Formats: sequence, C-alpha cells, structure tokens
Amino acid sequence: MKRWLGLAWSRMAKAPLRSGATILGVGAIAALACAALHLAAAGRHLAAAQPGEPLITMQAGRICPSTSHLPMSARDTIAAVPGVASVSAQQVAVSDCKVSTTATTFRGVNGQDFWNQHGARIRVLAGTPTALATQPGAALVGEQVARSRQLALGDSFESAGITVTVAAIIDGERMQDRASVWVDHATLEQALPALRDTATLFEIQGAVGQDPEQLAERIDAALGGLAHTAPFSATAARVTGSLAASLQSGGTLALAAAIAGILLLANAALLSLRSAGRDLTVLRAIGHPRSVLAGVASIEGGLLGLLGGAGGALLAGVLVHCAATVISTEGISVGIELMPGLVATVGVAAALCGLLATLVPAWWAARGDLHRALGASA
Amino acid sequence: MATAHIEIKGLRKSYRSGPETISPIDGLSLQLERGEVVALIGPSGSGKSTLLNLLAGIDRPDAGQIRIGDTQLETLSAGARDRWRASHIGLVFQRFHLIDVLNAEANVLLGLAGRSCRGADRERARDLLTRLGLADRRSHRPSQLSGGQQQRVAIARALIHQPEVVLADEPTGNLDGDGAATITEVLISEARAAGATLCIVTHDHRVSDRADRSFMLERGKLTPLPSMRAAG
Ligand SMILES: Nc1ncnc2c1ncn2[C@@H]1O[C@H](COP(=O)(O)OP(=O)(O)OP(=O)(O)O)[C@@H](O)[C@H]1O
Ligand SMILES: [Mg+2]
Repeated sequence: MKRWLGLAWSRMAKAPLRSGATILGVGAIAALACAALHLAAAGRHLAAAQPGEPLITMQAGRICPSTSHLPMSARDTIAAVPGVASVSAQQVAVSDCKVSTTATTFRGVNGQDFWNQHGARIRVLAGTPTALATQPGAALVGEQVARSRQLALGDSFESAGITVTVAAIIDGERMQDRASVWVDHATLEQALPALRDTATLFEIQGAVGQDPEQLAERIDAALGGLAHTAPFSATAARVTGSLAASLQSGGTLALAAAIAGILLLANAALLSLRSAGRDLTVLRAIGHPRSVLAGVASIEGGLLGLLGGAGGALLAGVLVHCAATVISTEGISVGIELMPGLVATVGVAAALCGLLATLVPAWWAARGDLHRALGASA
Repeated sequence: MATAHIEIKGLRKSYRSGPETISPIDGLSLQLERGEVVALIGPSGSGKSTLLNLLAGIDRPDAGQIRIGDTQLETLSAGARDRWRASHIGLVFQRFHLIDVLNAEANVLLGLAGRSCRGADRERARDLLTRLGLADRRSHRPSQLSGGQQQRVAIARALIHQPEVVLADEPTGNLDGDGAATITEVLISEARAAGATLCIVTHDHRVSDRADRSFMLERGKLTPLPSMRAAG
C-alpha cells in the first residue's frame, strides 16, 4: 500500500501545475458547496419543529412580529388558560422588516423575570447579565450578533432609533437567543413610545404532556379571536416562508457543486491517466493485477479530492464562523452558524468523489495493450 | 531422460488484419532445459515478440501447448495467467519501461507483482543493484541514469522475484555497441546465477554468440543456428 501511495504522490508532484489547478478548483467548489450546505441547514433548522419548543401568540393577521400589538394584560388571560406552564411577553423591534443581513432584532423582555423564564437555556459568555433589569439601555447581545458586528462589552450601538450598551454576551440553545439583542421592556418603550403597554408577542411554555395544537386553540379562544397561536417553528416557517425556502435551495446548489467537482476530478484523472497509460501497461505486463492498478490510479483522484475538498471546506468553515452572518426577516433571525460535522462531511465526500471519478477511467486505462508493451511491431 | 523445463508443441498464433490473416507462429515446437540461455533471431515482423508474449502468458495461442515447469499455460484463465506470470516470469523490454517518477530501488521492487514487499526484499533489491554496479545509483530516477544503467535497473526488476524464466525482447536494441555488450554480459550472467531459463530476442549476433543455443524464427517455425559457443 505504501509504495502505491508513494507512486500516486510522485505522479501528482511530477505535474504540479495540473495537480495544483485541480486542487484549487476542487477547493473552490468544495467551499461553495460547504457554504451552501450551511445556508440550507440554517433554513431547515429554522422551520424544523423542536421538542419542547414554545408556542408563540401574535396579533391575528400580522406577519411581522414587530407590527403585532397585544395588550400586556393578555398575559394574565393566557396564564389562566389550563395547560399553560409559563408565559412571557416580548416586544420585538426591528430596524428592517424585510430580508436583511444588517437588521437588528431587539427583543424587549421583563428584565426582572428574564432569568426565571429563560435562564435554563441561556449561557453567559461575558459581562453582567443582571444589568438588564438595573441599568437603563443595557442589552444582552447574542453571541452571533456580537461576532458579526464585532461588539465587545461596554460598546454602545444604535439601530432602529434605539441606543443600547452591551452589558453581556450570551449564548443560548435557540438560534433566536444567539441572533437577537435582548433589552428590558422599558428600554424599548422609551425609544418607541408606540410600544407602551403592548406586547408584540407572547412566548408560552405548555405543561408537560400538553398537546400544543389543543393548547393553541384554547389560548386563541380565551383571547377572543384577537390573537393567533402556533408553535415557534410553525410561526417561523410562516413568517420566513420564502427565506427558509431559498436558504434550503442551497442544498440543490451544493449538489450542483458536487457534480461540477466530480467532473473536474474526472477530467483531471483522464489527463493524468493519459500520461500514466504506458506505466500502467508495463505494470500489467509484469503481472500486477488490473484491479490493483485501477486502485492506484484512483488514489491520485482521491488525494486531489481530499486535498482540494478539505482545504475548501475548511476555508468555508472559517469564513462562515468569522462572518457570523445573521439573516433576519420580519423579526425572525437566522444565524448562519458553523457546523464542524458539515465541514468534515464535505472534505470526506470530496475525497470519495475523487476516488469514484477516477475509478472508471482508471479501470479502462489499466486495460493496457500488453502486446505493445513487449515491443511487438503490430 | 529428464523432462525439459519449457516444452512447446504445435504452437499456432495468427492475426487477422482486414481480409488478410497472418500467422507469425505456425506449428512451432521447442524444448528448453532448465537454466538454458537461448537467443531468438529473425527478421522484423517474423513473430519473435509474439512468441515471447505466448511464453509469458500475455497472449493465448490459437492452437498448441506450452508447458513451463509444471504449468500447462493454455489451461489457465486470463487472471490465473497474470498471477502465474507475476511469480514465474521476469520481463526485460527494449525500451526499459521504468516508471520515471520512481527511483531505481522503487522500480526494482515493482518487480514483486504477486505480493507486497517486505524488508528482506528491500535488501535483495539493494544486493541486485550492487551486483549490477548501481550501488550508488539506488535513489536516482530513470531520467538521471544512462540507457545502459536504466536497462540494468530493468534487469534487477526482472530478477527480484526469482523467476524461473526470464524473457528479454531486444534488451540491447536501444543501446550503443559498448553498452549493448555489457548489458548482454550482465543479463546472461545474472540469469545463470539465478538459475533461470533465459530467452533473448535479438538482432545482435554478439548476443547469440553468448547463448547456449540460437534459433532463427522464419515462416512461423524455428530453425536451430550453429552455435558459436559450441563450435568455438
Ligand atoms: N495484436 C496484433 N494484431 C494484429 N497483428 C499483429 C498483432 N501483433 C503482432 N501482429 C503481427 O504479427 C507479426 C509478428 O509481429 P511481432 O511483433 O511478433 O514481430 P517481431 O518479430 O517481434 O518484429 P520486430 O523485430 O520488428 O519486433 C507482424 O506482422 C505483426 O504485424
Ligand atoms: Mg518485436
């Protein structure tokens, strides 16, 4: 095995321009595929139902949460509905309702109550989270937002007419936790008087064993048709419908990239095998089996695929992580987050594509007209 | 009488090219003793390479039998012939046919086709290269070697697996006079040292002079030539 790897490597090194161009090409394609898969995963994740996800109650007929207005008093009505374990009011303010990568989603919450409601799934990465209740203008910034805006503790920033100071940077189980800026109700009300005494949505945790559909119906009935309640994933799917769909089309893009990659590798393999033809024939003539030789010839494709694929996927991974893109629409935020498993998969898949793309041409090349190898005059 | 090492009986091989059929081997019979060195001479296109291909099990005869040692070649499948060739035959080509991205030692080790190579093989490859005067050229690539040196590497590759038969198709055809003479010397003495039966196809009479027996291949059959060695 070692000698065959050595042979494949020497052959690659002998044609550095060809090998280099192939590796770069595969790398670019793998990077594209990796990035597209990250988009698709974010889109899928957004609309996928999670166990134990909360119900969201919004004003009936509103799509953008920031335009939904329900009286704060509805909180008590909802809390009284049988099967409701907890309910919290959120005021959502966005700097842009349309699809945007620069919009900020502010979530106004009860600063005193925030940790009772959400503490279990929130992790503080830096700063003083209690400032939310005690300092006017204090904000808990999701780590994805902090990374994409390069915000540090103590930084002040303004968006949608709201100025806040970073009091803590938080990480959470839900993408909305990581991709939003959390502030106290008072902070939002001061900046946006229209929000006074209104909640834009309520987040409800059902009691264990509650059927979410039935609970949602009971809540809507209790609010007299004023509101519409649905699980978070369904709300997100409704609100971000076309965004999630277009993100998921990243999967098709990745497939197209994979096909382009396979063709590129097959082409490189054909070029390389054209020059390897004589070597393969000689090796066949001295008794090396065709299967071994085809394998050897496809190691080269596998190596090219692995080097290009791993390089490209890693590059895409680093870019995805550093860019920390947050796409938001209608008050729902989608963070494009690094998935190490996806990066590894793309690298391995590229190596396999390389092997596969080379195997067939290699098998044919290893046919070899043995007669000629011996110097027959035919 | 002891049985011959190689026994060829009524061998026939023809090729069809368009409407014509040519029969380079046509009812050929031959017996070779173990360790014998024979030279095959014949005009271009007379079928010398065809005969070697049949002996190596690369090609299949249309009729006739070839027995080498205990193996009756025509009874083997193509795959079995390849495996048999890997362990029983050493091949030397006119154009050396070394792998140019590998150094001399790695090329020699490629002669071990039937199995993976072990530490002892590496030692044997070095020994062979040393015997062939290439001790200080082990890590040179073919492009860094002269024609004669490349053919010596090819000879080592043909001998590394201790084959019982070595087939050489015009091994000196690409070398100049002095180089050719040395290679002939080396090939014959190494084959003798290894106890292998050696068949050399050649146009060069100096080669046939060094062989035990010489044959002329013409019209599909072999005619013995008077041996200079026996006479001299
Ligand atoms: N695969 C083939 N298909 C058709 N004809 C062939 C084939 N191989 C050999 N021949 C023909 O068989 C004849 C013998 O060829 P061969 O190569 O054995 O000759 P040779 O004696 O080795 O010649 P040279 O000295 O030029 O190498 C030639 O006429 C050649 O054209
Ligand atoms: Mg010939």
